[in-house]
Amino acid sequence: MDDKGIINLFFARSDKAIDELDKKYGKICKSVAENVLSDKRDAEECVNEAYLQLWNKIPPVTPASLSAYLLKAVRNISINRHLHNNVEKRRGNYALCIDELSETVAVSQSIAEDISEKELTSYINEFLGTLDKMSRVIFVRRFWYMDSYESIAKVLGIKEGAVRTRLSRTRAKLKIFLDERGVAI
Amino acid sequence: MNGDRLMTALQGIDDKYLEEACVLIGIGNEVILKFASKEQSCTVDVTRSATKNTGIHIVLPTAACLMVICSIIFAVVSNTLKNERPKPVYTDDSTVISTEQLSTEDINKQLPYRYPNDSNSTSLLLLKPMEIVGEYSNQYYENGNKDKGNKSIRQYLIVKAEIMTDYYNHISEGTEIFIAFRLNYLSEVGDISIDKAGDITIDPKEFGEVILNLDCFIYYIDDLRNDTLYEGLNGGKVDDELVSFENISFYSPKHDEMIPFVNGITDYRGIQALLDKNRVNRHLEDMFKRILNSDFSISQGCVMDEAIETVKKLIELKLFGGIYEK
Repeated sequence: MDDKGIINLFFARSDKAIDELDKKYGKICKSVAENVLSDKRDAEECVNEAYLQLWNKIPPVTPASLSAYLLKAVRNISINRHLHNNVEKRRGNYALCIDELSETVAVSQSIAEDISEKELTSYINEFLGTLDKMSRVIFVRRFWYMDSYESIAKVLGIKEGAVRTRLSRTRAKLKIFLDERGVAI
Repeated sequence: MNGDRLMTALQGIDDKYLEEACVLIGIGNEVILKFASKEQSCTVDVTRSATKNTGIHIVLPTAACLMVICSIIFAVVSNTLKNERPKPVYTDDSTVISTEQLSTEDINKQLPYRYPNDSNSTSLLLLKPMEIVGEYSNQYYENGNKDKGNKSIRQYLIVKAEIMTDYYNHISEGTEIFIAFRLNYLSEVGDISIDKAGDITIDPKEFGEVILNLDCFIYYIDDLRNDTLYEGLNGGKVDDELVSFENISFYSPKHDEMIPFVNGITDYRGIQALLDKNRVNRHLEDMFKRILNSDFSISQGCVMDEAIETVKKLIELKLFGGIYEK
């Protein structure tokens, strides 16, 4: 079923909406949640919570992109669960991604406090627009979907080393990009 | 802390980037399945057998032979595309205009600026192999003589690839092309290299011919003895996924000859022919009809039966038709 059909089911308050949503996006939602949490049961709960969130929000909301709307909800809920579960002890891909991104800005630097999250997002969007498609997809798969290097390499049909190299170059570009805009001080 | 903030900021990135990554992975899965399929093992065997055939001499008029093979595949693609709107051409100021709007005079004006004939300039084209579309072989006679020459077989591997970079602003990133690699012609020259970044470069001297238009083109490379290149095509087993090409030529139906494409376009007659799309399409359609409706063979004993069968099969499988769906 296409996204429009699923949204119509939500508007009709039909239980089938969740079934169809799960049929179409369940796999990738679980993958995103598992990447953050490294725990299947937690991941399943987060996905279910995201479904409930959509059920409560649609209607009145009509998402322009159902997949992006759903995945953002899953990611957000999973990160919150992760932070709750691991107040002191960090683990999983989420922690690894944070460590990798921390290297983007040098140890002696930090992101200026007066830069809002919205501004930072806008810079990242601008930066993503400057990348070639392959680099962008790898970056988004790693830091948004939090896929492992191995997984990205497998689905793109390239070597894990190639993913690492590209990502390393992209992070270096991001550092320069942020430097030039005075984001890192 | 910085990483935390960046990760949080990432949550709000544009939906289009999330969808792009999601869709690409979906496509990627299919491609990988095809690459990894045991059914593709025949192509591995072809490479192995090719390694043994070091004694083959290709003395046929290569351009004539390859021209026909190129045309078969090109014709299929052209047929698929003939009802599509004209593809854009980029001018100096990046204004997009239709090919139909370009006169010969326009082209002459623009070419010196768009294609510098400078020996230092390079025309690197980065490609990402996406899928092995199929393979075919055709028979020919050494020395081009049916009575005296020994019968040999040429084997080709057709690979779908995507252009990773703009090419002189003329071919856009994302354009999909077909490459036909000739598997059993071997050379002792070290003409394929892989640099530290993983890019594969093929010596221009070893290039065969290419058909090019604004939508698609087909490369012929006469040498595929390098296993690493083959592996790169067969699932990205080399250090990177990119293949770099320099120096190409293309077939001009208008002049019925191959036009060199060295360090930019040194002879723009071919481009005129390319832009004259109706002529190109007519030529290819005629060629295609002739091939499908008869036991077509070209001179020098180069029998095309197997190539025709392969193309028919590809049409049946709708492999060509599906490729341009976005």
